[in-house]
Amino acid sequence: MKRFAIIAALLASGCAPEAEAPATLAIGEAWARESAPGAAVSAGYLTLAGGDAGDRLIRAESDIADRTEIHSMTMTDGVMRMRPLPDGIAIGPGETIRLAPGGDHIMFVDLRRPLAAGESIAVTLHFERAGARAVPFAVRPAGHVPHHGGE
Amino acid sequence: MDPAAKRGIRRGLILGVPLALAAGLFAWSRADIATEADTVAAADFGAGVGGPFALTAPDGSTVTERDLAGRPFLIFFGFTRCPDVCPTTLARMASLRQRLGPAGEDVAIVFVSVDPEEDSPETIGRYLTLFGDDIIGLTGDDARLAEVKRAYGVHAERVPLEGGGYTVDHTATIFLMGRDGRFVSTIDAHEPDAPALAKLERALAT
Repeated sequence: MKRFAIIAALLASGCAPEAEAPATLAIGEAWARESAPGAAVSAGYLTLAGGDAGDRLIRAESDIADRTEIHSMTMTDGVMRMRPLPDGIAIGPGETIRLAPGGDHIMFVDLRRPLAAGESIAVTLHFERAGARAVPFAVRPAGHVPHHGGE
Repeated sequence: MDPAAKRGIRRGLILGVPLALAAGLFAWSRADIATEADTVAAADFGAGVGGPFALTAPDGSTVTERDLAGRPFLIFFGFTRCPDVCPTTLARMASLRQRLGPAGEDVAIVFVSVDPEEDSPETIGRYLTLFGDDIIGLTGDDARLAEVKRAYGVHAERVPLEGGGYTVDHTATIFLMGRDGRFVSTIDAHEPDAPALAKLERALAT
């Protein structure tokens, strides 16, 4: 039994780095913030692992908003500045990028309907190498703090 | 109000506004350091932050700093078409207040929209329902907003975006004010909860 536990632990530790650095593009923890009644915008967050070759998120689209954009969010001298990223987001080989509250995000502009916590919305992400990927975003309450967040 | 008190307020305004401006400029020049250590940020902003304002609530009533007298308050500036920092900060302020337990109910949370073109008082009221029902949402005309931005040393600038739409670059600092309306501290976006809660407890103890 003890030997089994050791082998299991070894296997688990061996697997852990594998999960951190997948061979191909991996997308995880995709979620969007619920929106207020009548609100025009919301944001989506996710984790992107570039795989061995790396990749670039170049575009996003969704039926829930007129426009789905990739935005940077920077804080300089206490002033928040948000800008579209026309070249998208590059993910280096072996790199994992976490889009989390208080940073870069997917922005849903001019929502066609409110987003309710508990539902899932369909988003298509376009990558330079991996092409189009359909990614469901789980809608979470406004105060949601992801475990791997930017804090 | 007796004439002496009125004079006091006027004097406070005359002294306070340039002080707030100076503090804002100083804080701006030191902001990198302020992010590192909030004790520095608090010293930078100093006693000049804050002051009189008169803004409109979602129900159309006018809210001034006198309506908050006796309660510590958190005040944050933003706009409802802000997808990331504003909802993140509003949710955080609500969560910090909740974590203080029953004592926290004394803390007022104030959200000032600096986007009067898009955010009517009603829009702000609807928007704030997302974060609980006890956040005071305010806005005003350009003159009233200029007054409160000046008092808090807040920068806000509407920026058109390529491909349509716009954004508002704005100061995203939370200002914590004491029961007497005086500046206590800032709370930084990336500051952990423990020091932020300690500041709130300090403000409640005054």
